[in-house]
Amino acid sequence: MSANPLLSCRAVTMRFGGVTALDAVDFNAAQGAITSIIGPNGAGKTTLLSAVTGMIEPTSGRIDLGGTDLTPLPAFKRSHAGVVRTFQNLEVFSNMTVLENVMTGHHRHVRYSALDALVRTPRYRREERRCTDLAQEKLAFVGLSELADAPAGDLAFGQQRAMELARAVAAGPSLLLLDEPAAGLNMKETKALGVLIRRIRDELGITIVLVEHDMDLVMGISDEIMVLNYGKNIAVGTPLEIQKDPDVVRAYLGDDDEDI
Amino acid sequence: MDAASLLQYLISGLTVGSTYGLTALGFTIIYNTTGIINFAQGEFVMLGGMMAVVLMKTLGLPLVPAILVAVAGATAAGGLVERLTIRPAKGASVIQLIIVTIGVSILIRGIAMLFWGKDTFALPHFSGMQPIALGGATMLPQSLWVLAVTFALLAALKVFFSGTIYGKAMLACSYDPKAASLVGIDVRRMVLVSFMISAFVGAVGGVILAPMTLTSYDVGILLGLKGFAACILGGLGNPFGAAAGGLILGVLESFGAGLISSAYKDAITFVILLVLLFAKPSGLFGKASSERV
Amino acid sequence: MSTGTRNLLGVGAFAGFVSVLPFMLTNDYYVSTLIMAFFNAIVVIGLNLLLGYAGQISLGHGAFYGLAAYSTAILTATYGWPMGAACVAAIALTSAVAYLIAIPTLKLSGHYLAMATLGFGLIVYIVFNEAIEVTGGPSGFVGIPRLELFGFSFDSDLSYYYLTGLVLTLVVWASLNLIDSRIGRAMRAIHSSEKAAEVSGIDITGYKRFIFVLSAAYAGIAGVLYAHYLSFVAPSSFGFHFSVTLIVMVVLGGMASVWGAVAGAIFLSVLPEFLRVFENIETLIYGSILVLCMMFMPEGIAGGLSKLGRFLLSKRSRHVG
Repeated sequence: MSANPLLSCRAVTMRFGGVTALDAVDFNAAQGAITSIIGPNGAGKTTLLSAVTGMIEPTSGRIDLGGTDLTPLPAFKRSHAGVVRTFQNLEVFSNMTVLENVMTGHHRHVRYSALDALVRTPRYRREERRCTDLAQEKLAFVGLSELADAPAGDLAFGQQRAMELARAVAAGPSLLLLDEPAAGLNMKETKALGVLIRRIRDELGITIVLVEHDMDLVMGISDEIMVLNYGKNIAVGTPLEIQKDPDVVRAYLGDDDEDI
Repeated sequence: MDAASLLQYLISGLTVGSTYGLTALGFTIIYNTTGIINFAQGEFVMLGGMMAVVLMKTLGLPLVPAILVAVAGATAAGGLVERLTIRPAKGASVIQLIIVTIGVSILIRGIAMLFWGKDTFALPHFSGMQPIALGGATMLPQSLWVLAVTFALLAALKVFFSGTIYGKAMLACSYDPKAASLVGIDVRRMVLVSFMISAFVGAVGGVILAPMTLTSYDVGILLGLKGFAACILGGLGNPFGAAAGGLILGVLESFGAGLISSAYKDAITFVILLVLLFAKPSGLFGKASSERV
Repeated sequence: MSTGTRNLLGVGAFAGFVSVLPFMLTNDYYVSTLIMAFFNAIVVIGLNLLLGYAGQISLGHGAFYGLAAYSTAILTATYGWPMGAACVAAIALTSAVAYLIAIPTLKLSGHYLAMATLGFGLIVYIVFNEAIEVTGGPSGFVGIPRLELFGFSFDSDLSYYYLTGLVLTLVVWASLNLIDSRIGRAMRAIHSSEKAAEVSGIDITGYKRFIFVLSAAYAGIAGVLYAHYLSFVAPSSFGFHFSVTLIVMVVLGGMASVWGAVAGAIFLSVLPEFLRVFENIETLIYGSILVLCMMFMPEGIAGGLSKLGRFLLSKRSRHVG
């Protein structure tokens, strides 16, 4: 399972002022696997995601994607390298329709210049057509086809989450980072989310890294789990192994052993 | 380029720089309390000088009452601006607030033009125009007034902000408005007071300088921009930096005008501003954090 | 109906309206008013794209307008360049200056950007005023030849009107196309959420720079048309007052709307002709527009109308989600 890491983080350290958010974290995500990162609040999970996508620069350490060193790349180039993320607090383009949101996800693959756009050359038409078709396809994949022309801001929360996934998938990544995608979803929606994440891996061949608090979801779909606590990697293993790991239990429940 | 000329440039630079410093201080006070840059700050400076002149001309008031009423009027205007345009605009984006304060500055200018026309006016010197000899250079008594009033005002503000409850409350608002309101500080009132103090400080700056530079309805634009440049020079958010930045800017401008070219004097200031913004937006005394920029 | 088709219809209707408008006017003088209004509209469209889509405020755009006007004036009148070459060179020069300014300026945001563009505009204005041997100083630069292309001389107001109307129509059409493309989506994304835009692979700095330079190029196009129409340029036309007027036009028309930009520009350009007292209270009106629009109608006329339109339409269609 861990034979072939697509994403490889080595000794990633992140220090802000006096706070060490990440402390020499080693993290691998195997190709084609669903790997989850769990840990108490403030453990550094989102910080790690931000470091991988280039939104923050680690104090030290190295981040590799399929053999490419990501560390010198600015954030927008990381998408070109194949890694895309979704956001905990939803970052929807509310000034566009649902379809346009997903088309924007496909941005870097659309091949025409500003000049083509200004005068609507055949190349523009061809590529726009292709982009539109692809976006429709991704919307169908997540089940939002009928809402394609709705303003993105008008959608219900759960639908916006699905749209964000469609947008991320439209970018054609090899690695998809999901930042607490179940936050704000009810049980039924969370189950549907789990199915969708599995389908993204199975049908689209995208490797997934999932940061989550919802343990049912995490234990249900993960191939491997890493546990972060106070910025340190304290355990790596299958769901079963993690559930039994005493360090993990202690991290989540504190040092009082009465409830164990 | 003898010492006397250099001294002359220094004196005139410090004089005009004091007003820049006071204008900059006005920017800083509002910025510190609200995070907003008030584009209309220059207009308060204009109002101080213009209202004093108008009161003397039309109502025949003697100098001192005219000044007092003018400054009080400008302070009231500051409060009015906050009440009518800033307070209702809660939750507006930065761009929106910028445009609102630009609009306010235009409005004030328009009203001034409507009432007082486009002429230039001069306020009488406070204590005569007998030049004082100083090491080969001459200094008008008004310059002394400018420097004296400026330093007195700076000292008073320092006492206010670090010594009085009100002042400390305003500082608290700038660090963390939520925390400030949690401990019982009326943030909205602090915002109002900050606008009024800024207007007060600006108006004083306008009044003391008006006898030496002519004043008219549109002096606010340049003064405001130079005041902002002084702010940046000293480090945005730093009151000491604002005052120092104003003096430094005034002196640089004066030397530039004297040694390089007086026609391009204003351009020199703006080039300095641009260079600062591009190279070191945190200014001379500010922190190097790139957060606000 | 696709966006492309809708745009084309709108542009066609606009072109038709512009064509017949001169015959509906009671006084030939109004044609020259409209020509000036069209110049403003071209600049305002660019500024609208910059402010409304890229969210970048420029308080010095009058400088680009003036740069192009003075450049073509000097090239044709002082150095005797052929008209076409001079115009192209002027627009290219303006765009180049914008590119140079963009690099450091766009690292700034909010107030800093506003002040930097304001400072830039004032520096250019001062140079226009002081470089008397080159620009003629405050009294202006005279003797600019009237526009002449492919042997045809645009001497009459009417011919200039149609030329400018054509250019404006093309600029509108091109801008609408730009918005309805990956570039437009990228700009809207940047305006909406820079984080998500980055993650989608959008080079934010690159696009902001692109739109800044494009808006300066639009101002450049308007500037050369202006110079060869009036045959005279003076610094006072390109100063802070003009730059602010442009912002007022953008705000009034609606910040993210090409048609709004056109409407705002033409309305405010034409208004002084109908308000005798306008000159005295012009600044009051501009100031009020800025303040009131930002407080109550941040999306301008265009936004207000489209909100109304959507509200009326939604009453008939079924609810979403």
